[in-house]
Amino acid sequence: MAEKFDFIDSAKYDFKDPEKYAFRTPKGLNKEVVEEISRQKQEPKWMLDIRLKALDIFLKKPTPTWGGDLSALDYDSYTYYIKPSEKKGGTWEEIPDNIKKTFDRLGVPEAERKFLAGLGAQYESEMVYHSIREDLAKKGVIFLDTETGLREYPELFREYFTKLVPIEDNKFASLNTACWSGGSFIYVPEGVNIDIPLQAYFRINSEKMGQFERTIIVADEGAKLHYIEGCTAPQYSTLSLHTGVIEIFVKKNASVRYTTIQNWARNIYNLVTQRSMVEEGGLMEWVDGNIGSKLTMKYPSIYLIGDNSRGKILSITFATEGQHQDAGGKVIHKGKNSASTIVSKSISRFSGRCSYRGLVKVIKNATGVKSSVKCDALMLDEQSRSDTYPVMQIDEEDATVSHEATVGKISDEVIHYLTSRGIKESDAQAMVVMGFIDEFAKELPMEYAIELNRLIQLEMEGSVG
Amino acid sequence: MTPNLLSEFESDKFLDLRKKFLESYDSGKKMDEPVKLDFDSLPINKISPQFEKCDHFETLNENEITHKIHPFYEEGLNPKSNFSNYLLAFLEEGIYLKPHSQKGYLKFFAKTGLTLEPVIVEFENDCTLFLHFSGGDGSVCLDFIRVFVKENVKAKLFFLFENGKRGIDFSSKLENGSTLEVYPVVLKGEGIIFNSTHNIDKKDAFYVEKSVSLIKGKDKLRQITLVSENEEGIKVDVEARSILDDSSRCFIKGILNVEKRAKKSESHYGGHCLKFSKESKALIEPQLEIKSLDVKATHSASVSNVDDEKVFYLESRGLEREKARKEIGIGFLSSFVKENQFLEKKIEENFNE
Repeated sequence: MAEKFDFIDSAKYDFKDPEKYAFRTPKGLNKEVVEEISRQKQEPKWMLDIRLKALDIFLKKPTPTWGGDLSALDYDSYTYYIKPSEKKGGTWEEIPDNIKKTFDRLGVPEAERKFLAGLGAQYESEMVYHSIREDLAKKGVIFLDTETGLREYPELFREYFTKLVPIEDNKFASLNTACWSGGSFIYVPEGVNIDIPLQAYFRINSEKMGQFERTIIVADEGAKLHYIEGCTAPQYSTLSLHTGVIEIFVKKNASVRYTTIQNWARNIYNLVTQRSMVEEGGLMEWVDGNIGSKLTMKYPSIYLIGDNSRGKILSITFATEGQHQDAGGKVIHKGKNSASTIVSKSISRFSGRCSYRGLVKVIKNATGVKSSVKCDALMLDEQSRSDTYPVMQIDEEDATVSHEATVGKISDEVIHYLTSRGIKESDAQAMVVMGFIDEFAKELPMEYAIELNRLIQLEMEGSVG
Repeated sequence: MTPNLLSEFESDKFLDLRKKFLESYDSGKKMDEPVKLDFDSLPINKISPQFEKCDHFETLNENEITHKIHPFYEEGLNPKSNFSNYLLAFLEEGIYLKPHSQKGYLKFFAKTGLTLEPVIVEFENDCTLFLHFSGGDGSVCLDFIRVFVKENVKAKLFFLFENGKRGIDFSSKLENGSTLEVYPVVLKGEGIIFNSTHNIDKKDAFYVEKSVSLIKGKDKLRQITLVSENEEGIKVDVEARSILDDSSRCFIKGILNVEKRAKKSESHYGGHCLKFSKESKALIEPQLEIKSLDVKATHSASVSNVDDEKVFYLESRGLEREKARKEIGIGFLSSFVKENQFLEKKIEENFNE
């Protein structure tokens, strides 16, 4: 089974298709480019107005200097919109051959058949495929690409769009709002429980392009959803940009789990804003695996606004040569008796750098809050680096918030023990790393957990001697 | 006042330095500090040692104290806080200590106005020193404290900072194999900026800092500890504990920076707040920056209210609820200073005020 669901094995997805496109904007970002994106999508005027306002804010805001090194970002060198095909499909037969072949090689349609309730596949700037199980559609579940969501459900769309991530939130949220394209629009009606995951798969094929997916998820009262996103791209010597914005609304007693297996090629800047808001008794879980990209800056956030709401962020990062994974999580407690946990595991080797950056904030009158944060970092060689930058801001007396972090290397005693049992040193190291991330792997569907383990094993090859 | 007047009997070198520090202060003060000391227009007082007695400690002898200025301008004593630029621009008298007593004590008292309190301590042999900085009504103090510990010497340093507004710029220099244990206690500080900065670059040096603060009323504390480790075998253990009552505010930040050369080092930072009131606010940022492989580095942080179970236990033993809460708070703070009964008592007194 492992070979068939090869979503995150870098050797398997590092292939390039010939660049065949229905339309692409010229390089660089300006008013004309944004207007052209809007025209291509035949959007209402209010959306174009928001895009132009966001562009203005993006151009005015400075590039942040507090996280990873963004100095090589050259905004004028990217193509901000590439339409791969005029056709979109609800079946794979409707998809142009070259694109279908790409997703076949990645094992995406097969995964859909075997263990998904619905799938969206984005190629460059557009979702080329979207499909959901018939029984779920009949129950009123909406699972569409974001453009179709805007077209078919304009009022519902407008109710949630930019409500959690305002256009001026940060430079990259502004950029996304100006030129968003693709992503998923999901609405799960009251009481509907989607027992197997929905998935979106994002593929960048072109060199020096920007992909700006925008995802809105609404889980109505008592609804339950697990959404998975995977991302890959071929390796180029030039740098590409992926800037997503995800807004998730978890209503009363609803539950959403959002799992990311991010395995972009190492020429991608992955700068993503993910935010969720949880009402009374609701549960939001971010399961966030960052293995690829040149630089990731991503801090999934949970606003626990309802009483007795809960949030959980489970993050692993793996950074090797030339990579900086600047990840973490934020939880803001507003609801009484709300609870949260953040668990972060990072592994760095071959001069890779992992940083945890997080915030736990308890707003005044949010009594009975409990929050715990645990960060563990494993460094595998002398050239690597690990940083931890947590913030705890507590404005309420009746709150219990704790944080602990450890940074260390693999214990020599453990390696000695395993090698004395006939295990090769590199395998012994890989075993320890697997054990280290076990808490994360356990939270993934079986097929993804197997693939994650395979990936880590691949990454660990050659790490000794 | 200008530095020129102070430098009447100094060489041009010192006048130039004073001017440089004043320029640095002026350019640095534009930065918005959340805790404002507002000392610029206040009349300046010199440091004032009081040879008072303290139980269980010996008052320092005159031969252990020298009044000097110029050592404060030597290389390596750079200001780590902007207010220290002001102190170094206008410094008239500094205290240079070489304690020999087994357990020495010295008190400084600050009158109304701005008091500049520069202190250098040089530990040449194993000993314990207790420096007590006290302020009168309306006093603002700038404390510039530099500690040197000779090779293989084990030194222990208690601080008590009480009353008024205060900027504390504390730094140390450790030699190979030396140990410095520091126990700062902050009580009744209207506005306190406490910057503790240490660059440890000698083998097998051991730095311990266990600080406690009791913040009440509208008091504000901004405490930042930065320790950089840059040699093999260094051990660092830093913990900051704070109790917040009424509408007080505290910001506690700890940065442990373990550089490549710091192999086989062990480091821990802990930042912990106990909140006694709904209106108080706490912000904690414990940070680790690890660039070396063969190290152990951990940090922990917590903010919580008084544990109801502990209160209930004490209530069941006959204590009133409020008394039980206070006892828990006293225990939380005074566990670091068990060895110093004077400080233990002071903490208790402040709790009961």
